[in-house]
Amino acid sequence: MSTISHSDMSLLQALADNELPANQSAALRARFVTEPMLADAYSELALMRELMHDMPAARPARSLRLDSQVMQQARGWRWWLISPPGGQFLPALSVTVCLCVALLFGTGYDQVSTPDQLYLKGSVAAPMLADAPAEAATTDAARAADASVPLVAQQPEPSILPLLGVTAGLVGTVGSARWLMRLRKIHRKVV
Amino acid sequence: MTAPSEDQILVSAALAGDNDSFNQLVERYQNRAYGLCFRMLGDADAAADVAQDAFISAYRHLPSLRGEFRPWLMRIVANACRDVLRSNKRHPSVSLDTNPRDEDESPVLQIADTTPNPEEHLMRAELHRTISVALLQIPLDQRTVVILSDIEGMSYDEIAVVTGANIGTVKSRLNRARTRLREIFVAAELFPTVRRLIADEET
Repeated sequence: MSTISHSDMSLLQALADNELPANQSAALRARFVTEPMLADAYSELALMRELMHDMPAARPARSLRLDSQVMQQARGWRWWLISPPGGQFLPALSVTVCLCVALLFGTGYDQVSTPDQLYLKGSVAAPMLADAPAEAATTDAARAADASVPLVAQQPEPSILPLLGVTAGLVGTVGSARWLMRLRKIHRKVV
Repeated sequence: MTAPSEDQILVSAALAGDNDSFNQLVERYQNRAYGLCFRMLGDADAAADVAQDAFISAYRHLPSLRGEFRPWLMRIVANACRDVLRSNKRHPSVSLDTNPRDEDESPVLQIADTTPNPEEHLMRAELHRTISVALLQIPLDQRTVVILSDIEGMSYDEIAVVTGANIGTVKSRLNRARTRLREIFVAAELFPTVRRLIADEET
């Protein structure tokens, strides 16, 4: 047994598994005539495979079925995402949220300001008024003076938020759509 | 597009909330799962527990299943067995001198006895016991591959999925496992016994 090389053993096992090409198989079988040790080894390998294949099936002494309580406990977050009610509403909810994020940030919501904020922006833009006492800023006169500052002169600072918002919205929408498609596929299979 | 297999239909139904569908999968594969555990661990009780845990784990991760159910499940089972062996540092060694009657009385291997000759029956039981013991003597990665291939009858591709190794590694492990097993069989003088048994059957 020890005189059989590792490569020959590999060939013998490939032959036993019917994995050897026809020409190599024929060449190996031809060697069996001149090398009886090789033939014996092949015979033993084939016998061993047969023995293993014929091993009796092992059966558990009890059924391994899972009861509904165990199943309920085993359900992880993936189950919540895929099964009702989460599975029904989450995709729609995520699409809505993503679209809202895209709309809010994508349309430049952060640039829309209340009259007070406009007033403050105006004060910053007008150095003379910014130097005025704080009490004056709250008076009607100050408001009137401040209103005279042309708002068109105020240039909004460039922001990457709209771009981020649109990107996040698009990514979220595509992800949700894929999830919805998978759910539909599962549903179709079941139906 | 190919029609979904029965397994896929059951998986889809289980994902849709039908618990009985998953239990149908359990019944379909419990012998295979338990068999792999039993051959790998060498302990009937531990094998049943590990197989049960593997099914629970499979159910938990069912939403993440991609592809075929059987190799995926067997991978979970094999990993569970590996984890148990590693955590316990327990590689059971069963003496080859154990009384073969113990095996006969074991409830684990329930097979129909078609051999009329009691002596032949004993010899077969001894053979199976020796093979089971020999399997426990080879390294874990080789043992897994040879069980899946030669006992469970899985293809190289399926074994590669189960073990997470490539085909070349699977073949290499299988070669080493069989070489080692053959050495054990020769040392236990198993081949003459088998040949005698076959000759008796033929006559």
